[in-house]
Amino acid sequence: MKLELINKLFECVEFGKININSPYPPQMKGLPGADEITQEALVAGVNPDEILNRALIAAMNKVGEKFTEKKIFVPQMLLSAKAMNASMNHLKPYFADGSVKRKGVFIVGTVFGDLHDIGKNLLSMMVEGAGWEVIDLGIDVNTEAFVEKVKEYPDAVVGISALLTTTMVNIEPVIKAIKQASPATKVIVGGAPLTAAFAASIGADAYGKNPREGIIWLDLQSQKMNN
Amino acid sequence: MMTWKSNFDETKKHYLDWWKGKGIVLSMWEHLFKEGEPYEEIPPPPRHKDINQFWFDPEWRSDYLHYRMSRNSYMADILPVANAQLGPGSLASLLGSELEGRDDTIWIHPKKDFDETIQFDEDNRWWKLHQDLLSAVKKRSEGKYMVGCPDLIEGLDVLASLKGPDNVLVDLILEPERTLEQLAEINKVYFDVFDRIYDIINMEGEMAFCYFSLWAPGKVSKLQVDLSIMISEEDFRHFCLPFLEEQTRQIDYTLYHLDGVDAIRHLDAVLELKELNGVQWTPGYGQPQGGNSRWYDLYKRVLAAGKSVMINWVTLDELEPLIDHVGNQGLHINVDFKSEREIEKALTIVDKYR
Repeated sequence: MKLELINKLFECVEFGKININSPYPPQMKGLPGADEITQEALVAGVNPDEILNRALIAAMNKVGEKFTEKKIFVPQMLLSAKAMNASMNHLKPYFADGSVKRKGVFIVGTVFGDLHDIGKNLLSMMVEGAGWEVIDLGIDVNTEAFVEKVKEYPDAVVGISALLTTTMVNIEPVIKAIKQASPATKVIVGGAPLTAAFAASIGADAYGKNPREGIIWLDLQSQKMNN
Repeated sequence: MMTWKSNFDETKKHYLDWWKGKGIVLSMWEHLFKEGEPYEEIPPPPRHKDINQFWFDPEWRSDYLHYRMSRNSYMADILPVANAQLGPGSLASLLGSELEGRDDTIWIHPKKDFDETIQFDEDNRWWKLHQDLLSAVKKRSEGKYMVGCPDLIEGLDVLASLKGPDNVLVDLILEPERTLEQLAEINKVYFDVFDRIYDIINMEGEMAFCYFSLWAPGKVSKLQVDLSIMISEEDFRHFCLPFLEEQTRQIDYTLYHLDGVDAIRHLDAVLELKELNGVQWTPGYGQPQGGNSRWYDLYKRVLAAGKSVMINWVTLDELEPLIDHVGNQGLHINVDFKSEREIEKALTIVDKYR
């Protein structure tokens, strides 16, 4: 029973079935979605930690793989993320009381001067789906806002995105300020015009070519922090 | 008409050929200053008071453009076109989005409380600005240069400007019928606005676009779906192609702006647009630019489909190998010129192939 619910939830997240009213995917029309199945699982006594790890994280991992292999595209990935969020809402009390632990805190924002948000939003959803707590500072985020949040969460990892060649240069002063305020804080950068070489040249600790690459690096940081 | 471009007749001939898939147009993305005296001694306007005046004051901006145009080089096929754009995708502002001028560009903010209705309000202040700005630049030009059509943009990109790209992408799946209806409405507004802008800026029926160095002896536009890099080929055919097709039928001359490596998967569909005249390729940052040999096959593919091709940010060194490999028919080459001397060198090369 418990395994069946976990498998069902995995399927809902993989295929983007948010709740019973959601018309997508067509083959699951009228069936319970991530929202209802999570509630059912908790009532049936499934450990929230298992829900997070064996259903949500595992499913989002598969979604990331399919996206990287171009088997699905951004709309499908967004629906998977929405399904995951519908489930995650029911896990919040367990995060709050510490019975379910996240991998770490990820502070993310689009650099000042840049108002693009799709790449940053995608990454946020995928990172949350990978088991991290995400603090999304939004778009056009100034240096002070990043630094302030880093001071509040000294163990957090920071992600900064830019979508324009004219705004990616704004990332460097943000990284400098973060490192000055908190030298141990790791920063990953990403966005269409960025490259690994550019990331290295501005003092970033990593460059995420796509959400999946970013998550692999983040999970490594989590392992290092927890060892 | 007597513009500040002394060889405009020759350039027009190059463009007429190019639209038919023949010959070479040699130009650049926008402009560089000419050497020597300006065409006329036009005084610069006083420094702009603030960024809003820089972008949104028709009188100040027309004075500024007039001053700049009097000092630009129009050698080779560089067009005498004043760029009166109001941001990439300014059609969204006519449908309720807000424009915000910044140092390097104009940003378009999603419409607050968007209720999924696509409605063009004639009293919209940004529509008034479009008309006032274009009219002011046209008047100031006195026929010495053309006024480029703002980068209105259409389709999914405008819908994304109105309600945010995430919401548009999700609705391709959850609300496909409503999305198609919205796209049809956007096209209707686009044609209405486009025709009215054409009435303001055309010069004896001829028209130019603000970017991409585009001129035609009739209505001309650049088409695009930048959001296409995020969707499947199937969705592109369903949500984009029908509206693009309508544009290629209603506008005399059209060029599709293919932006980014991930957009190449839609090229076959784009090339199926019978009335489309050409394809422009933007490789994107981090990729070798337009003149690199990596893209020769892509250009050949476009030409083989009977379309002209526009190649951007070509360096002087890349020019000759590019023409040698891709051929000398149907190419519009925008070279990254730094001086008139470089233009002369490029002309020496291109003239060998004309």
